[in-house]
Order: sequence, then structure tokens, then C-alpha cells
Amino acid sequence: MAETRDHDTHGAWQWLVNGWHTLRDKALNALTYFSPEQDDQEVSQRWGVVAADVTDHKHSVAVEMELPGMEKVDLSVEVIGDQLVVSGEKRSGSTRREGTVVITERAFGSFKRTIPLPCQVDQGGAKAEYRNGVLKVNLPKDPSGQTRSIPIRRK
Amino acid sequence: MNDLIKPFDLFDDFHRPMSSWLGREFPFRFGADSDVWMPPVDIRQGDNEYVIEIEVPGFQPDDVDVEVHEGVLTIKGERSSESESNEEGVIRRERRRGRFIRRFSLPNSAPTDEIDANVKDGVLTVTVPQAVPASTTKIDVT
Repeated sequence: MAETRDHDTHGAWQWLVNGWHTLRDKALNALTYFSPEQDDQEVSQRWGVVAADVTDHKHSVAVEMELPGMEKVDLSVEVIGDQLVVSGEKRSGSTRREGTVVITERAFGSFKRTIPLPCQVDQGGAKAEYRNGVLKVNLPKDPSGQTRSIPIRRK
Repeated sequence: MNDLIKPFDLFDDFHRPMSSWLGREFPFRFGADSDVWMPPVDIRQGDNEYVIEIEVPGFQPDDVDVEVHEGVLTIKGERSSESESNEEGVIRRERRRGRFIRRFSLPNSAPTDEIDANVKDGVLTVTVPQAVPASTTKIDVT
């Protein structure tokens, strides 16, 4: 009896551990460092979660990234090789200068997040829009370079 | 500089955003991607009000509920536009699905009928006015 119970407990524990690892791995990718603004004297979070979804469609790759409370002009989106690089400056704004801090969990400052892309994309056809605090980037696939074949030399 | 003399702050810096993303009910009710999560919040106390700012990217005003019950302010939401059940082509899924919830106890004196809430660029701002201090009348003891 005890053995069965032990086994069950172990199973439940494994289930918990596996679930935790899955969640933590996903959050760790999204964990992003925010270097503080020059004039920011306040204690704001230095690390924030910049969560992204990437979907591989037939003719394009879609990236959605959560960047709430930003101005469009403070965002930069670039394709460098087979990576999408999103960087910017998340400003805390003038409202945060007023009053006393009760709770501070949001991160502010400059940040950069690099997302590996599954294939070569046509950089010229890339489109990006920022709405409701979500950056959506659509990257058409480059039909000429979808697979990179690397020749294997024989010695 | 300060980071050098306060090494444990670094752990705290990591822990806070991660546990926010993972949600408070974790690990008791996790499973699929549908568990409850807690978006990060800033609260400031001004001269006349509290200003609460919560990061809710992708949420429309209709997706968010702000309510006060027995001195507790509850802010919760669920994305209505989340119909994409098609998981085809998914390479990365970091954005949280499902519901979020945050609760705050209000000072007894807060006039709850004057609470204001609006969503802009994925940030929900809730303004809770502070009660005007009642005027004190001095009573002379004769």
C-alpha cells in the first residue's frame, strides 16, 4: 500500500515539476532587461516579461509582441539575418513623477529582444503595426531562400 | 552601484516579473495555458487620489471589468478576441491566454462611485479618489 501511495505522490510531483519547467522555460525566454532612463531616479523594475508569439504561416511568419504603454516612435523593428530584433525605449511618462510610490512592478527604460525566425524572410515586404500595446510584425517568406542547404564535403 | 551591495535584489527582480507571469494560483491550478495570471501593476498615491496602472496588452475596454465590493477593488479581464484555436504553425507561445485578476483593498473612506477607469495602448489606468478629510470642529470644554 505504501509503495503505491509513494508512487502516486511521485507521479503527482513529477507532473508538478514538469508543468513548472514548461512555464518557467517560456517565461525565461521572455524575461527582458530594461536599462533605466537617464533621469529616472525611481526604483522601477529592471526586468520585465516581453512576451511574444511566433506563428509560421504558409507564406509568412507572424510575430506578436506585448509592449504595453509605448509610443510608436520609440519602437524599432529590424530584420538582421534570420532574426527579428525589436528594441525601444519604454518611457515612464510624466504621471509617474507625481505622488508617492505604493507598488512598482512595471519595468521602464530601454530594452532589446531578439527572436529567431524559422526561415529567410523578404525584408522589403515586412510590415509592422502597434495597436493596444501589441506589436504585430508580418514577414513574408523569401521564396528563394527558404531552405539553406549546406554541402557536406567528403575528405 | 546599489546592485553590488544588495545581491538579493537581483533575485527579487527576476522573481517578481516571473511570478506575475506565472500567476498567483500557480502551482495549484496550472495545466493548460488557461490559468489565471497577474499582470504587473504600478500604484501611486497623489494628493487627491490613487492612480493604479496595469499592463493589459491586447485588451479592449470591453474585455476588462473593474468593480468594488466591500472595500475591495477587483480588476479582471479576459480577451474576447481569443478565438484562435488553430495551433497550426505555432513556433512560440509566450503571451498569456485566459483570465487575469488583481485585487486591492481600498481605504474605507474612498468614494467608490467616483472611481474612473480607461484603457490606452494596453495600459489600464484606474483612478480612485481619496476622501476629502472631514472638517474638524473643535468643541470647547467649559
